[in-house]
Amino acid sequence: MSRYVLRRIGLALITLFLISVLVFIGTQMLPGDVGRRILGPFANQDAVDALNTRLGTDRPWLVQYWDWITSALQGDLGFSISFSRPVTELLGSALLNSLKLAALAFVIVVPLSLLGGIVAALRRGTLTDRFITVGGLSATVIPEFVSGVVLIVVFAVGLGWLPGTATAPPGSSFFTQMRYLILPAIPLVLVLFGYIARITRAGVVEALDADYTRTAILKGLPRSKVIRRDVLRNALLPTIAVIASQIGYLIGGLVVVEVLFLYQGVGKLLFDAAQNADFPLLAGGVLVVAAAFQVAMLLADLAYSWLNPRIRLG
Amino acid sequence: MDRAKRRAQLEQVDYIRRRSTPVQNHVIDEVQYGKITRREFLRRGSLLGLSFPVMGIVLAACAEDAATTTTAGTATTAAAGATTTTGSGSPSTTMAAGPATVRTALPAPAVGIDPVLINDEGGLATFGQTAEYLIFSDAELTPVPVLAESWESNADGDVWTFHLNPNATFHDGSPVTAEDVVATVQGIAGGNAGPAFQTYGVDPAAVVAVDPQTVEFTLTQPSGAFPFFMSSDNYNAAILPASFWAAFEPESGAYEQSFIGSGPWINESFEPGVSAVYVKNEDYWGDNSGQPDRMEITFFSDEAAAVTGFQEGRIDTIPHISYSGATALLNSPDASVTSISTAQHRQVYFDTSAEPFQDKRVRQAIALTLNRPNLIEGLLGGYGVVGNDHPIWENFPMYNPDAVAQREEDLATAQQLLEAAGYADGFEAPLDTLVFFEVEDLAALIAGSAAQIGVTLNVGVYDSGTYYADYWLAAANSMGIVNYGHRGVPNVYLGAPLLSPDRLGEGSWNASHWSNTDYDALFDQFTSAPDLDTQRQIAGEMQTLLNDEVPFIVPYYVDHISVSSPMFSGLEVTGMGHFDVTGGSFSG
Repeated sequence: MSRYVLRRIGLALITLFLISVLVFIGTQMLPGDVGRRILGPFANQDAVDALNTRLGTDRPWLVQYWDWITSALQGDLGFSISFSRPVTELLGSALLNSLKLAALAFVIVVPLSLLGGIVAALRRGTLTDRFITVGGLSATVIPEFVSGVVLIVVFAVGLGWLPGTATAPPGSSFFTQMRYLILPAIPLVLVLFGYIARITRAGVVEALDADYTRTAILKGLPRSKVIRRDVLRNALLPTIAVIASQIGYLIGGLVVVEVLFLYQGVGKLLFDAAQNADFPLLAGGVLVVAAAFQVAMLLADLAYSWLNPRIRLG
Repeated sequence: MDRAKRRAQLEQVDYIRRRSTPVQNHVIDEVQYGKITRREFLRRGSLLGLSFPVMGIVLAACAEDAATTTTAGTATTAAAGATTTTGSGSPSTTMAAGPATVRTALPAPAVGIDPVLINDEGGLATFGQTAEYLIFSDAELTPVPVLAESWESNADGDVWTFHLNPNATFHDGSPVTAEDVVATVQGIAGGNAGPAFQTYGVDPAAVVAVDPQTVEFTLTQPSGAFPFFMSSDNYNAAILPASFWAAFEPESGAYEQSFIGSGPWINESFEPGVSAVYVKNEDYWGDNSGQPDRMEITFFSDEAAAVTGFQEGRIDTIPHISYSGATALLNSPDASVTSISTAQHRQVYFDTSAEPFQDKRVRQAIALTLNRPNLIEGLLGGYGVVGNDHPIWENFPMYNPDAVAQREEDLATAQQLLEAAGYADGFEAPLDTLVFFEVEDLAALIAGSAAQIGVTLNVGVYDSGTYYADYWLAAANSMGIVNYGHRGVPNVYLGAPLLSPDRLGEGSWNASHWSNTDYDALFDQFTSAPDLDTQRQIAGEMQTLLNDEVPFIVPYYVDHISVSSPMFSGLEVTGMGHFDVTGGSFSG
């Protein structure tokens, strides 16, 4: 097991290294040099050159990359051009924010969609089943900016029940913060519900049709117990894989929701960095998101093997 | 004198100041600060064109000032209070004590709050809350004394002297001295304000602290408009302590650690890209008794977020919003929409160095196809002022209203001109532009207008980074559109974009590649002209020349729109993007 984990970590590091090279090359290919981007098109060329020298952006790519990657390995991801703060500090707080939002969305969507999937499977073919699967699918295809705007207009502006921004005033209690995160979490729930519910449903259906289920029922075990002990455990396996794959999205991909609700999470930070051509922040942010993906995948695989001892890792 | 009468008197003086030119205002300042006697004021004022009744009102207000002065600082502020504008925490005309908190929304600054590098509205508006300028250039372009009580030049106009207000202090209690001004000017020289140094002929080494309250600038060329260099117009030039500059390095985030300044707000917290919170400066050197206790700024990347915040009641005032962003609020009873005319304009330039735009008749023809009032109505919702193909906005004091008639749509003449130039069958050319508010729509409408005389303009739209890097100064047989933000004097518009390219070399912004020695000579005369009448006369010649040659079309000037809750009043804004809520209050 530990050999497996070590090997996975090793592979993750290689992936991250490749990503770092790609992202670095990508940021270097943006038009205009860094100094010009910061000072704007109307500044003197001398001032631009001086700034480039100060920031070290007039050195050869390889030198800049080496500098960056060696500091990154020591935990220093550089200095953000647009926020005048160390990148690590910005990403740290943004990651925390994204995790809070992701956690709330998770806490809502996972039980809801598991329940939905199981109910749909148990009542396979009925109206309830149709409602859950078709409804879930329809919710998934609604773009986040549409559902987000509708939610803001209806619940924040119209009814005034919930705040239309996700950023609570500083010093708010945990519950106040959560209250602010409810509206932004809903578009995420809508997107993920259909997918997870359908996978769960498929897993449960398959488990219900399996021999061991029929055997257990024929042996006289109560249906609910059978479902709880045998069906669910097997049905949840694909679901876990799906959920884990969504964690990466929940951490770095929530750009639309975060920008719409003015929430300083990793997605919005990356968006701002891209808009302002803030290379250090952009590169650092992408690395962090990639790393988060790797961790999520590893945890998912470990959970998978724990649930199903028959699966040999590696 | 009772309060109501006093208020009426101040409002009268304010009215007078608004309708006076900068030079007239200068003379009013001098008598209010006691620098000249009443008799001297009557003599000089009448020379400058102030009528006797007007001067009488000003003198009566001065007498009232003298009668009510109790502390040293009040004389300055009472005088400054005669203008309703900003910078020294003017006493508001509503009598209630300031409300608890004013919540505003600003576009997120593109770079950190760094005095050297700030180059956008979000940044300068944030910066201007804690830091102050020698002079504040208000919505009517009146130079209002703030850290500088008064200023004057020598006869040639190339040596300018500023006298600082002796009562001004920074947040840490240290006084604002000439050393701080010198350090500030030298500190910002290599950054975003660089082009301004060139335009006004400022050599950072030639700025001297004559004594703790006096700063002297020796310019490389005479400049009649120099005070604007040390005004809020040159938004990097807010005065910060010399001790700050000694330790400062650009791009280090140092300013965000302290937010030091001399202004009426003290920064309590700052979360980049998210929010900034300020508290009232209780030890402010001026009179800010009516100022609200707190102000919160929420930064937004997208105007829609600011609008929903406003509709929910989380934002009290949005100091600047574009026409398209404000559509939801324009006719709403829950929003009070105000606007001021500004000098911000779009320039539709031609590459005058090559075919087909080499012949000015072609340029005139295209300019004649535009229906400018329609453009303003359609693109700006009426929030704009018609332009006449030169960048001298009608509210600049030296604008010459009699110089040249407003160009209007005239397809017949356009067609004739095109034929005379040899393009009876029309031609095809690129029209490149950047993504910036309504500019792409403007490009499409210009292409549509030009099509009426057989000219096909192929519109290309690029993001601003690509545009400025690859298209702006590299126009070839093509047209392009750029934006020029608001300024308090037209010198910047008239200089780098229009002077012959070889004069400024790399510093040239001459996208039209236009080279005209007559214009260059007029520019030199204009910038060194000391008095308004000469400036106006030269401006008239420039207006005529530019309107005739059309190196670029100026279709309109864009208004600056603000939105406030109907219960909130007292927002002051400038075309530059500064805003001031120190005089704000809530009613009802």
